Amino acid sequence: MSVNKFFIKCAFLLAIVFTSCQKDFLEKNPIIGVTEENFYKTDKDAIAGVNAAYATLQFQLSPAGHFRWFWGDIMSDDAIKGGSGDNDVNDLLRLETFKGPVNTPLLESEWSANYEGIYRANVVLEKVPQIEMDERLKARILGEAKFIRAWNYYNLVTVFGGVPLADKVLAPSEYNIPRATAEQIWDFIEKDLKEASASLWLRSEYESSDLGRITKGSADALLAKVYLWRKKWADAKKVTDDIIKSNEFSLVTRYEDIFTLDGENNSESVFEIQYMNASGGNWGKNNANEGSFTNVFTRARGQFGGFGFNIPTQDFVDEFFKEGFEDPRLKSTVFRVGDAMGDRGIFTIEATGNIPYLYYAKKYFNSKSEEAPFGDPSPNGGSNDRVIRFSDVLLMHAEASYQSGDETSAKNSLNLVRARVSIPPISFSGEALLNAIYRERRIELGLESHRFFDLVRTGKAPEVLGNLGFKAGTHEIFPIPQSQILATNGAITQNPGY
Amino acid sequence: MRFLHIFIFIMFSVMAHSQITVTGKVNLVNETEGAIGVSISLIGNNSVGTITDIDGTYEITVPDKNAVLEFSFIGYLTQNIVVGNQTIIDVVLSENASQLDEIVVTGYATQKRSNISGSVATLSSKDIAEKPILRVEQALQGQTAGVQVTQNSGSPGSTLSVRVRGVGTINNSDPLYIVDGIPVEGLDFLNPNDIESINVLKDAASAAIYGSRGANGVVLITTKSGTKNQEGKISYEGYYGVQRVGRLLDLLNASEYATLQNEAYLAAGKTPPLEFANPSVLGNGTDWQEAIFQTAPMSNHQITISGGGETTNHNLSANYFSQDGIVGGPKANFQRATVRLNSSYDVKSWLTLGNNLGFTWLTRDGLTENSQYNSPVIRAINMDPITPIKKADDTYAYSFYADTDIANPINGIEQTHNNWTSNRFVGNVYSNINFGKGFTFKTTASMDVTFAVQKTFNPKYDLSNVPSISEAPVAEKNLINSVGIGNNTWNNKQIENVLTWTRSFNNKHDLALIGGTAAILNRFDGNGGGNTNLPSNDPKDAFISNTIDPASIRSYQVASESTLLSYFARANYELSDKYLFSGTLRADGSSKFGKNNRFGYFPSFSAGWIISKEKFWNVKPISNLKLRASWGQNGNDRIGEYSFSTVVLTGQNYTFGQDEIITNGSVALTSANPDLKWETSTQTNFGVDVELLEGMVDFTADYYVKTTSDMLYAAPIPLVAGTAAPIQNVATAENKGLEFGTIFRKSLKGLKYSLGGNIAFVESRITGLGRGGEPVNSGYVQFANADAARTDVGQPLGSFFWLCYRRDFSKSARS
Repeated sequence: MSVNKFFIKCAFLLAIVFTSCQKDFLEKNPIIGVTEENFYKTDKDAIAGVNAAYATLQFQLSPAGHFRWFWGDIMSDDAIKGGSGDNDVNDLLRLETFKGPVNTPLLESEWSANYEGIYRANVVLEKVPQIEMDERLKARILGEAKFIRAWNYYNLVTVFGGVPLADKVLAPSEYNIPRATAEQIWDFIEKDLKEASASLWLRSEYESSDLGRITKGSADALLAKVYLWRKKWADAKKVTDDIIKSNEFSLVTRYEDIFTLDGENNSESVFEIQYMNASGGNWGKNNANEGSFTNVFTRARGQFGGFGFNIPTQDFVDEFFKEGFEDPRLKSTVFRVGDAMGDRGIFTIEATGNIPYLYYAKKYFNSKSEEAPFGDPSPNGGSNDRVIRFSDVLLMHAEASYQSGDETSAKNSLNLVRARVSIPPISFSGEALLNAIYRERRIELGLESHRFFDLVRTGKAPEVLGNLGFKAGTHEIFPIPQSQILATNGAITQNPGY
Repeated sequence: MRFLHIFIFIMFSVMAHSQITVTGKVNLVNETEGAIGVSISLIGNNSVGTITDIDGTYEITVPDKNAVLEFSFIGYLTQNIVVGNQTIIDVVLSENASQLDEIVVTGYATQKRSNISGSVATLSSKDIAEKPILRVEQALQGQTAGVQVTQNSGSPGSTLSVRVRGVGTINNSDPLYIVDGIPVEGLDFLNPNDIESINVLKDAASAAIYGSRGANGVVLITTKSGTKNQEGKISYEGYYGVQRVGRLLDLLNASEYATLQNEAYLAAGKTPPLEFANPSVLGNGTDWQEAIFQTAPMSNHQITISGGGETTNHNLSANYFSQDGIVGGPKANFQRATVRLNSSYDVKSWLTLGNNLGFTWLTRDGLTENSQYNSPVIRAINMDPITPIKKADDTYAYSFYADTDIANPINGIEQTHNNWTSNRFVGNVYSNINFGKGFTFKTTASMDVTFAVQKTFNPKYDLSNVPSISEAPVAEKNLINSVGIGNNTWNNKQIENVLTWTRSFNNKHDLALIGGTAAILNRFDGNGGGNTNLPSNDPKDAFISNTIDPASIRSYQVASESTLLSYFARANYELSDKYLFSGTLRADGSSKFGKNNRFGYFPSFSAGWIISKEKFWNVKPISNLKLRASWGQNGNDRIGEYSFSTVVLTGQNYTFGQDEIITNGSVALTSANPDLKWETSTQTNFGVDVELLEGMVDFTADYYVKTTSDMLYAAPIPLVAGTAAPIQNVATAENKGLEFGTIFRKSLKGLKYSLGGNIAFVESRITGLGRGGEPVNSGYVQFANADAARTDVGQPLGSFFWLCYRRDFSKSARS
């Protein structure tokens, strides 16, 4: 063997050795993005993590989205589906007449959006405690995550009843967990909210650039709602008392200002889901879109360029006249024929494309001038979703006080809400007072996604919705998405009656 | 190969004491010129031998009169001639119909067909040239038992699906394609005229040398190279043709349509539309199929220059191919230009350097295909014959009768601007060192780089009769135009070292050992962007910067890398050319799997017994009978990168603050599966090869059982997870199959003809499911909001499940 050959041979053997000895050769980390193990190291990571959980609050439509006013308003006696006809989102018609399909993307999306929120909150709750950072900020972030988790379970338990309880990020082997009972879910929500309340900041402690974040008041208000659902009247009274006494919130002077663009995150905003009219993009999850579908869905058709959903009923409008005068809040809640629809023109039946609806929902209406200047404005409604307002807190306080036997406090809070719109105070007592509180909720919070759940919570649903097909014992909650029963091989079971 | 062998052979030959010198000329049957390179050797003494020169003449010195000379040439019957008193021996070699000497590429080596104990199918350039094909995959169509080639689309340049021994996995079932030793994705870059041979490794033992990626079979493609000692040759080949759809569906014409509509309205208790009152006056109406289908030209031009000297050979080819679509014509145009240079050079007696270099440019205009609502063909079939193509004002019309998702197909074609253009280089350079004593060492460096650009433009249009109201259905208008561009670069590099040792002992034992390493680095880079609201609706002005809404300009960038590190070894042992044994072991490490499951080990064994070579064999008509058995394991790693881990992504934003500031949120959208491991397929194969009458008839049969376990798939998960489905090891399947192939060959006065047939049976069923044993649903159908296919225990993969309805529509008439 010549020297030459020998060297070449050695060179190749070395080549083999080098290729095989490169230990790092098989270590490939993502080029864009970082693995979870390498993230969650700084306070910035913690904030980005909890922001991603906030992002799920905005999810709307399929495949994962919240339909708050579909459930809260359309399912109730306040509104009907609307749209271009029976076939336009026909599932919604079947649901509102309580002949609901068990396999509808609407319920599946609601289910999915909540669990995406829960997952993201769980990630924060698992990863952030290990980060070395300012403890006060850390506590706030964990509180925000707990609130978001509780909020999603609140949606789930009120829409579906008992659901699978994921209190941590699930491993593939845990995907088939069965449903917990509604009581267990309520307990879990209560615990999360109490802990959130203890570690969240007051609204006044946030920078203005953080407006829209969950505050201690948000957690307390949602906790109050939970107590009302659970009929824990004394607890509800105490927590609403605390919110009122905190002086963190106050009623806006003019009711009609609440739902304007300037009225976003105003002094009575306790929990508000943020949207904006950014151009481009599309609805839904997993993209950077910040717009709401509510604006275009509730706007009239024809020249108004909307889809005409959530049509107020005559019964709802009549409620505003029952005290012998027109409640001033009606003109902020409902468009009537002849009203100007912002800068889009006068509401006539002809202008809506001859669809014979006499009323349209007004609270989430936006003028053309408020739209993004370019792109497709339809998916990009800018109106924030006012989930809990201070007037809601006052009415919860009134209800809790009444149920705790404190009619004076009940009347006091109720009349604060009425005084804002300059209508006479209520002086009833007994059941008449309770019914006055319920009625005040229907008017004050009309078309803000409360009504159906209020009817179920107060036990009035069978009486009010019976003629629509509502059956007590079944229709308080909706069917579990059939797809999820199949996906878990039956580990998740259907609600009775469906 | 043959030549190389002979040169080495001569190098080591020792000068013998000459006693008789024999000269002569060798001719091949039916050919006038002498045959170059026929091997002549002395039986009983391997060290004496020569080959014929360029005129076909030879000279050899033999010890004595009793010497027997063996004349052998590939593809021809070997002749043995006793020297006796002759000093001039002219020989005419006759053709050998038998395929037993056929060279089969087995991965990192070649073997004679007769000595294969696995299940390998071979196609030569002759087989490929016999039928006109537009894509390489078509060469395999119908040629080989157990290889199923399906055309998914009729549009030019579209991919064909190749399945070896059925669909074994719910994951990607494409076979592994190796072109000149380079693993490649897709074959659209290859010019079929450049192919020398295609070998399909069907059983696990044959594919085991490709370990982690061989589970769906391996297709080995060798491109043409030149021949040594051959004068330069230039050839041109070309054709021009037209295509037309063979048969149109028999659909309703306008008056038939109106008649049926009237019946339907009446049956539903409704008043039929006025315009259908007199169906017969409506006549034929629009024939939408005639409207979309057209005669499409296609052409092919190929120039090949090949040749070789004493130490070199080369083959240079250039090809241009163009085809229009029978739907859409130039809107579905496909063009491909390729250049290929294969050459090798014996630098030293012990060193050969060579290269296989191919460059491909291709461009394809795409229409929507295989879509429930959007492809032109589906629209043409579903569109009613009442609607005209165009309205009176020469703009396109939309239908009042068809489903609103069914849009005017002609307008649809016109509004589609979708082009894919790629430049791809696939090539390798190698060095082959012959150390002597049977040792060779080959190092190959290869590269497969693709630069591809996709451009789409969606113009603004509205088929409404009154544009100010815009009453047309959503599918018939696009009110905001947009443009998109994507640049994709795939860069795959491989370095491979293979050490081979072959040795024969005592004329009885033949041993071949192979050991090697391969390292592969795959990188993908993509970036692109888009906009909406272009001031111009002309595709020529479709640029991202050209918009009245600069805020709509968006861009993206993606990048990923994966690596594969492999060690492999194979031993082939042949005892007395009758008993064949082979064993393979491959270890593959992949960056796609987590630390704990990174390496997979894939062993295989096979054995063959050529009964017809036994002394006791006296069934004359059966000239060859071989039994084969093999067992082996392969893997499948066709999943995305980083699946074992979760990647935290930005962009999950929320708006905060009085000024509505979009604020970044980051989270992993897919859950991790750190336990992710290889999909493994285990296959046992039994086969028999029978040759009758010295190759006049060949018959092959194979039976196999293939079990695929730990199938990799992102099976849908319960939504309670809150994330997208991670890749999981989801199911186990079993495929059992029988394959038969036969061929009959005959040569009549120089006219050769052959007749072949093959048939395969495969039975597939799922034997196990992962997680909680849930069936895996797939095949989403939009209008039903449900999946149509289910993978469940006892059923084949992805079986269709339907509800059965039986209903008499005439009796249930109601509104």
